[in-house]
Amino acid sequence: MSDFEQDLREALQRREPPDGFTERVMARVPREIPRRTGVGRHWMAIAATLCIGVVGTSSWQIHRRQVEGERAKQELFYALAVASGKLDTARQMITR
Amino acid sequence: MVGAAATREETFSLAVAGDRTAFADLVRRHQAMVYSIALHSMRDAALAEELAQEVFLELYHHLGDLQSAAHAEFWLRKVTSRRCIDQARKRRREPKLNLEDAPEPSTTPAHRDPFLSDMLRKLTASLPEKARMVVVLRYQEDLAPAEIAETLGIPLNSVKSCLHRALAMLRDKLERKQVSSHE
Amino acid sequence: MKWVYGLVLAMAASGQELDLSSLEKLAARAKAAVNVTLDRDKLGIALPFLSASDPDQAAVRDLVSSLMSINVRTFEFEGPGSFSKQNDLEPVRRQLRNPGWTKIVDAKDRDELVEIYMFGKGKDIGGITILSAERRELTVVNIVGPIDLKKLGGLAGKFGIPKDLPGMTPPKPAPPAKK
Repeated sequence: MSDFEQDLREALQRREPPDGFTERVMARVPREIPRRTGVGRHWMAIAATLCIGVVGTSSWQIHRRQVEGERAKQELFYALAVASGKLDTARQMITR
Repeated sequence: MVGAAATREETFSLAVAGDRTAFADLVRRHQAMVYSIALHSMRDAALAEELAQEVFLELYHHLGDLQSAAHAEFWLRKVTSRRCIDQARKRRREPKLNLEDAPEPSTTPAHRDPFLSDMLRKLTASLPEKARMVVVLRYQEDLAPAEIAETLGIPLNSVKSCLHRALAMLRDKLERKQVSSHE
Repeated sequence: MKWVYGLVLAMAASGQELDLSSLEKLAARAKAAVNVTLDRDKLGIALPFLSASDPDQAAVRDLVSSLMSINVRTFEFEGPGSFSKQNDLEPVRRQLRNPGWTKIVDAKDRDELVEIYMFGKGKDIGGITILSAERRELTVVNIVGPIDLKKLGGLAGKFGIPKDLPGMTPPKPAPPAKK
């Protein structure tokens, strides 16, 4: 990078917004944050339904499985996003 | 997952699941990026904050559509850039404040040459909207041209030629400013 | 005889699964580090949570259902020059010089490199490894199991990039190269 570009980088460094920015945003965010359909706040309903006919399985274990499953899914999406993104980068570099 | 970025994924998952504290963490994590893109694009701290707040409110509405923390970061950068370009086009049609008179943002980090940095910020803000955003994404966000193309939804060749022209324009304007200040 | 089949599978998988522990020291230098380790069990936990009615998630399920593991290590550094594309990746490349691995892509430009390695040939692909180094970021992806590269590449734009945002049109595909 040239000296000029380095000067530009320095001039355009990120800076924090004025104090209290997060609080001002949160004051405008409605109390209920939207969730993915089928998961999250409705886990109680899902857990209750699953418990019918399931002997000896606690709702806590079901909830934990939900959380673990969602977390594993997020990690899977991340891994595939990275892999497919890098394949795309390679394709673009070869095309260039 | 481990490390600083692993916390990022956990925060994201919790925010999607409805945790307000996690969403506030998400805001805190990305506020400098969003605010700075707006500030360097519009050179108006009040407008930049307003736009930044709007972007995070929009994030709150779209959280359920996003897949990962990386996705959220990309989304924020993309939405902020697009809104800044739209805002800049709107302002172009309205009576403008002379950039020389624009109030200096209150938080000014120390630089080797604060006058040069200030001049470069002013000159960047005077570029045409798209060129301005390309420069901000390249030098504030350190994005590669391909990433800038994806963020703005424009062809890679457009980004490259835009960047090339913008740098030439900035160098030229800076030289003229420096010459005229010595006269 | 099932145990023999399992043993053969395990032995076959051992060449494709790389030891990425040499990269751990980079975490101390990095601004951010991601370590994703999805073994067969964890992949099995994730699969039921993929929506069958969402075509993108169904594509993921189809791609991933016969994989043994997916490992991702990503390191983001403060500034350029914080890692060596040669020295820091050599322990990984050494394993990729073992029999069975073939480098199928070697793309470099001024700021970045991407190398893609495949284990096996033709219909018997047993895994892939992607090495990517940019100015401030190093990424290694190791996928063990029969993976369809075309389907994997087809996911680009599905999970990292939003499909629709208000006021935005998706990027147009690159025009065909002029002859």
